Amino acid sequence: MDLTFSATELAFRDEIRTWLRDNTQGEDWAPMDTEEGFEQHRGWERTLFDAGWSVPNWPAAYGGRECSLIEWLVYEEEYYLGGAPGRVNTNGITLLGPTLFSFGTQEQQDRFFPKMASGEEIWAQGWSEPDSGSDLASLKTTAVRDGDHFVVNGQKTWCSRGAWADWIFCIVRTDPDSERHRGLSYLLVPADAPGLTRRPVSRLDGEPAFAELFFDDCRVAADNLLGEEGQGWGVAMATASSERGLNLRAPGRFLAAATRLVALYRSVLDAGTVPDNGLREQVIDAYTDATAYRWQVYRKASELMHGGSMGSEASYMKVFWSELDVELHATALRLLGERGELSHHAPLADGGSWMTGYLFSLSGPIYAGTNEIQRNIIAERVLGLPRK
Amino acid sequence: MDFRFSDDQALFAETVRGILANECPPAAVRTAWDNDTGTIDGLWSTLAATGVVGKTAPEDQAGLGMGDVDLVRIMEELGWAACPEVVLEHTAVAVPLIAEGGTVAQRDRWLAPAAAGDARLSCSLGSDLVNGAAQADALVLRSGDEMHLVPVDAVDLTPQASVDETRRLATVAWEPSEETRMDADAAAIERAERRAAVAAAAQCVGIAQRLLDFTVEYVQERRQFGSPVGVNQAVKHHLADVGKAIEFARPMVYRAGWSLTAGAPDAAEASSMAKALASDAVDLACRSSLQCHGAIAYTVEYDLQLWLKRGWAMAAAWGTASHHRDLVGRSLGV
Repeated sequence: MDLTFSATELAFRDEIRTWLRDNTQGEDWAPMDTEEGFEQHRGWERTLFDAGWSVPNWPAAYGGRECSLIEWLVYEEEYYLGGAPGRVNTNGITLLGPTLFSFGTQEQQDRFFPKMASGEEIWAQGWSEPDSGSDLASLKTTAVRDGDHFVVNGQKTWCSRGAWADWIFCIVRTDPDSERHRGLSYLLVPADAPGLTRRPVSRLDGEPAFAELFFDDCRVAADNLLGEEGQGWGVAMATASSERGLNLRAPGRFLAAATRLVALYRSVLDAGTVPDNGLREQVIDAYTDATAYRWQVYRKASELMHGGSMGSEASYMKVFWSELDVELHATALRLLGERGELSHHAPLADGGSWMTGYLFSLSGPIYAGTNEIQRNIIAERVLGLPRK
Repeated sequence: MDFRFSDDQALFAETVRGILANECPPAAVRTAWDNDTGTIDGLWSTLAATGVVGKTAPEDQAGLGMGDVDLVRIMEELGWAACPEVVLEHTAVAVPLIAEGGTVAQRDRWLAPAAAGDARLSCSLGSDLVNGAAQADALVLRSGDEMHLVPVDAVDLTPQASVDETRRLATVAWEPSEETRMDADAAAIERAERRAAVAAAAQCVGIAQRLLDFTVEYVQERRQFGSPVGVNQAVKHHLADVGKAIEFARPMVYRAGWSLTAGAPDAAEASSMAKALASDAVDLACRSSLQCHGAIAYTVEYDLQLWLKRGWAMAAAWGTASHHRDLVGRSLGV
């Protein structure tokens, strides 16, 4: 065990920190989940890409710098501590990306990765359906082979940034006689495919960040099948592991939020506006949990770099970070007292809002499989309790 | 940055696990509940012969010269087996403190016998309760800003019964003197407190893991309404939460052990975070394992109580979660 950062890792940290300091100047952009903000953030993706910081852990051929997993975690820490803009193509880079590396053909990788890395093509996830949420394997959207195309019919929902995304990675039923996990396929769908209509849906925070997707004899080239036909569930589970584990939510995000929470506590204490009543302990708890998450992720990363794998244990990660995030923001709202209800539109909120962050945090225990499903997975597949 | 234990560290922990499986099964722990010493016959000698007891003693004093990071996996195993021997007090706290802050005479008198297990030490860094004092040859005790090393025949002990009857606690009446005074300065005493916290945290993780293992097994065997009780989501979620608490306390304990050994700047903060998380984890494991067992575990006959009571004891010993959270807060400046 050696938990010192190597000279290379320290130099890497220094490089990204300096670059971010020199290239982010408190951008006053619209939120990422508005049409205007979406395009502003797409531009930021290009800036990152041109400097080699969009996908640092990817191969150089696709715009990366082939950094190690540990260096990627360092990058994430600096990224969030530096207050850099949100990543509008997260679903492409951190969810579809690892899956495409594992299951994509060379042609698919060469076709999709460069434009994913540069933000030229932004991706959304089309999995949930009106009647298939936690029970994803009950999904009904069909894709029937017709020559060198699939003809897709059905409906997807809760598709984050789906209203403006350029591509959508979907799970569809390619065997109409199949049930449950069998007969599903993983299909990459261009948003301008004929027969696809999109309707924005306002999320709880009021931003039109969700979309409903309607597939009406929508034709998609068969080349866009990721993995083998009928094997979509296995491919999807690889994506789910990325979504629940350390890819989507590196600890840097929560360390930065916990650091802001400590600063908020100090300022509230100085102002004497809110009685403490145990708030100090909640602040310390949030900071402690963010630190515990940090070391757990570095520990898992060490294992992954030496031949380990992240299976169902990703569910522990997902429950931990999502509930930590909710508690952290709830504590901030208590500290703010009556100002806790302010949205980021209020002048007093000073450009940021813990309420907006709280609303976002509340989606964490729901998306990527609800935490109830995650606890079932932990109990059944990690601890070994019987399903029935 | 590499979080993996070395092959040697992993092998040593496996060896200890094997020894404890043979010499410290629940039936043996029960003998320590009932006998005069609170210890298991022969176990201390075996642990000494294996190198556990002398692991932290300097190499020129017959020890292995190892640090806290080498101890954490062993402490976990001791917790997992509910081992009643005073390895924490002796090996994790007293021996390193004497090595670092004992006078020349104290080092010469005590370190080699302590490393060999021929002398047994216990300690308090401020608590008025000392575990295993009556069985010890000497006690490391605090008097204000000073540490003292006091032969046990120079103190008066008043037994104080613990909920865990293997923990033979006592309050100690004693007189500090120039003869007993150690050279340990404030920094050395603080390091000892950190070591104690990390070792106790590691034991808490081991105890919590055992409670979880026990309960996972039980809820698969126990049938009600025609099915194992473990099929119920309420039971599953209790145990998933226990698993989560352990899963996130453990790397914090490892990090703290490493930071102490390496003298990293976060050593103080990390050790308190480790004990806070581990105390909370074992506390949750106690409550949830009892609840998932039901009435069978609410008895002294059933073995779960050996770990429940050790869990409650160790959650509080060497600083409660609240105490350590307060220390984390101070280091954060809040």
